[in-house]
Amino acid sequence: MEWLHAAVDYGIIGLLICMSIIAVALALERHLVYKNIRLGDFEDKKSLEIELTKKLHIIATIGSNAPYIGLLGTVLGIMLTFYTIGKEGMIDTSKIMTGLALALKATAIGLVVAIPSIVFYNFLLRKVKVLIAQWEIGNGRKRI
Amino acid sequence: MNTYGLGYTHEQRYGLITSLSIHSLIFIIFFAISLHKDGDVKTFYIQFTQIGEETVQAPQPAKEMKRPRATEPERKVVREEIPVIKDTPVEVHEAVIRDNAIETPDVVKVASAPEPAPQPQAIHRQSGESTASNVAFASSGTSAIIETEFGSTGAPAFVNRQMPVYPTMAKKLGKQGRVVLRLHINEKGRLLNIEVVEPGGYGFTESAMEAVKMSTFSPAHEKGVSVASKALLSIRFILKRV
Repeated sequence: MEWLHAAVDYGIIGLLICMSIIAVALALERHLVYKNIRLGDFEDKKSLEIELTKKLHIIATIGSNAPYIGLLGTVLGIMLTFYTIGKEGMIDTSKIMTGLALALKATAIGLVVAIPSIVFYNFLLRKVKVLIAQWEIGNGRKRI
Repeated sequence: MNTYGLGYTHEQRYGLITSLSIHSLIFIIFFAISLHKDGDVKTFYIQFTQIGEETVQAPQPAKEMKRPRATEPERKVVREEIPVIKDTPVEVHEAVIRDNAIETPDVVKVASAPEPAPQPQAIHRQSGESTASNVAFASSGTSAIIETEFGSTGAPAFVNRQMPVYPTMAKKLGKQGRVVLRLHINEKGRLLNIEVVEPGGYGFTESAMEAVKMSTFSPAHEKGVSVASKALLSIRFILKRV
């Protein structure tokens, strides 16, 4: 059961941290792209939409899945704690409580990753809509 | 901007670097806070005390009790079997080595007569010791096992001392405690058995036993020969504010 402990501690939390780094990096990249985009370059509305919504789905996926991954870590941690209690008998209340508390940290980190990701996603989605609307205004809805 | 290939665009690089630096900044702040918190949190000290030392610290009415420590443990060993004998200071004891069973009842008779003011501590310990002394009587026939305690001459000593972990809940509650264990150590220095003479509660006993199991010992000596022994070990868990 030692491997499970390592999997919860390093695997799940490491995965969540990687997801967080990716989400923030993509959000910043998208933000820069939207700031520097020249709407005049695009002839077609659909190609503009494709360019604008590129990679947004990754942020959305991270935002919606990070809590689940954190929850998985917590469930595994609680499983591990109960397994240890079952094997060694009631040892020390403090040990059990510490085990449970540390299991919950995976959920906490999952939420910490998910909340900014969702915020970024909504923020970027709004920008995409604004940019498309601006393109439509600029092109006078002639080529729709 | 419109590169669809594998090459990293300027924006991607910028995003990745900024994201990494934001995350590492968060980590640094987090660790700095946790390190800073550690500074004013209560640190704890675990002391290994000898039983003899304990009586020095206990409130004693008579001043002459504070004699050099060398004599203290031996006096205390006898007390540990017969708690009433405690305050008669003039005894010279080889009673530690139990060669025949006749010797001990003899001492009991002597001890019961000059009974000074009974100390609360002695009473407190009596419960644990009554069982312990029964064990001692039972094993007195084998004659090779000496009874001693850590710190006295010829007693077993730690080769590799593992410090016990202070139980978290006890630390949080600010509980202190003392655990007295009797370690059965054979003539090769192997730990055979642990008796709990005085349990500590709050996980102290478990922690102390855990540490003792991980430690290694050198055997007791008697006249230059390694012998099997039963040695008392007192472990105190003390919190100190820094």
